[in-house]
Formats: sequence, C-alpha cells, structure tokens
Amino acid sequence: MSSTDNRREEFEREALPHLDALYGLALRLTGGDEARSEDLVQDAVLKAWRNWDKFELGTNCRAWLMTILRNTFINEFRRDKSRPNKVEFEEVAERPPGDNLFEADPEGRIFDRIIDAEVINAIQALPDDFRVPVVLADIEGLAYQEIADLLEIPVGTVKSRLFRARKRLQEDLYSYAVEMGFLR
Amino acid sequence: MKDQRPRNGGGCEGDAHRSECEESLEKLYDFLDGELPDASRDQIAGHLERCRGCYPYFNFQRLFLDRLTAAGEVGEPCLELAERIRAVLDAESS
Repeated sequence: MSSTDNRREEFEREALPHLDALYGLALRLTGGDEARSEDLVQDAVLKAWRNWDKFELGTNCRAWLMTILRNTFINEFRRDKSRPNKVEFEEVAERPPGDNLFEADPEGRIFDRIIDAEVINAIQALPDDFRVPVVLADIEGLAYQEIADLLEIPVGTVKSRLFRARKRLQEDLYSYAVEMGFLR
Repeated sequence: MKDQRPRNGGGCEGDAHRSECEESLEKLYDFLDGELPDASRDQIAGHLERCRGCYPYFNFQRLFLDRLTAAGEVGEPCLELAERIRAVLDAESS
C-alpha cells in the first residue's frame, strides 16, 4: 500500500466518523440551511484533508474539525454584510423578557420531556446575530471574549445578545410546552 | 438587567438582602457561564446557599443551559454528503 493510501485510510478512520457531528454544528450555525451546511462541511473536511499532516494523531480530531468548520463559517459570516438583521433585531428587542417558563415549571421538569429536535428548532429559528453567539457559547462552550473576538463585536454586545436570545428560547419552549399540553 | 429577577421572591426580605439578590441576578449568566473571577463567583455561590428565592431560579437557568448544550451536540445524519465528500477526496488524491 502506498503512503497516499495510508494517509487516506487514516483520514477516513479518524476524521470521517465525525461528519454527522460537523453537519449538526453547520445546521445550528446556519439556522438550518441544508445546502449551505453541506458546503460548509465539505469545505471544512477538505481543509482538514489538505492539512492532515499537521494533525497530531491521538489528539481530539473532532474538536479540531469543529474548529475548522467554525472558522470557515465565521469568515463567511463576517464577510456577509448584507444580512437582513435589522428588522429581526428590533423584533427580538421588543419582546417582553417574561419568565413564563420558570413560573410555570420552576423545577425545570419540562427539560426532560421536550425533545432535542424542538430545542434545536428553537435555536435555529433565532435571527443570525442571536443564534450564532448562542451556538458558540451554549453548544461550543466558548468564552465571551473568544466569541467577541470571532464576531468582532464588544463583549458587552455578546452578553446582551446571549441574554436576549436565551430569554426568547425560554419563551419559545414555553409556547411549545403549552401547545403540547406539558404545561397549562 | 433587572428583569431577570425571579418573581416568587422566596427568601428575599429586607433591603440589604434584596440588594444582594439583585447583585446576584445581574451576574446570573456570567456566573453560570463561568465568566466570573473567583471572589465574585464565591460570593454568589454563598448567596445561593442562603437565598430560597434565587437558588431555584439559578438552578432552573442551569438546567436550561444544559438542555441547550445536550440538544445542540446531537449530530445529523448526512449519508449523501458523505458520498459526495469521498468523491471529492478521491479527486484530490488522484
């Protein structure tokens, strides 16, 4: 077997099992845009393949791939100044910041009953400027400063977007829970 | 951000105590996100041990954030995409 075959075999074994995770992250970041998510995953995997020599076997391949995908997305996201966020931004700002979910279910039992897909739908339905910080903070576990640096916005803006996005998610989950009869 | 305050009010009685609640609630997500310096974090942790009003609210928010993380980490099957990527890798390798 040639060294090219070995390299490819190693890549197949180490990197490709993470495709589903990468595609999941891409969908969260793009707000459920399947075509864009597929392109993102393909771009990220291709970058990983071209830089495979730099990857140290035995270290966390999934985290490495996720970082490549995240950076690929962020580069596009920052470049795209034409995103229609203004209106949606105002809309989120005008929502009352109620604590309906907490008041109806202070022990948070609903979180065991609600399905992943519904939580994901709520995240993906957020406007770009709110969804991306939530994905980076709550799914990827990045610190406020890292998110601020990536998105080129002040830390205070990261915090206020996270605050409002999380409030809105709780309101959305509350509406869903009432609709499903989990809460009255 | 004063609207974070839990409405059940629990153990929040007296001005001094109320302001401790307000202070803690202002830092709710900083605390839960692990963004606070040790002293500030310990102060809130101490308050939560004493305050029947704030503890349930902080706990609820912790459960909420954990739920987001758990749901967000779920992968999405992409068999056709996997085939497409293998074809691209074949083209790159040859």
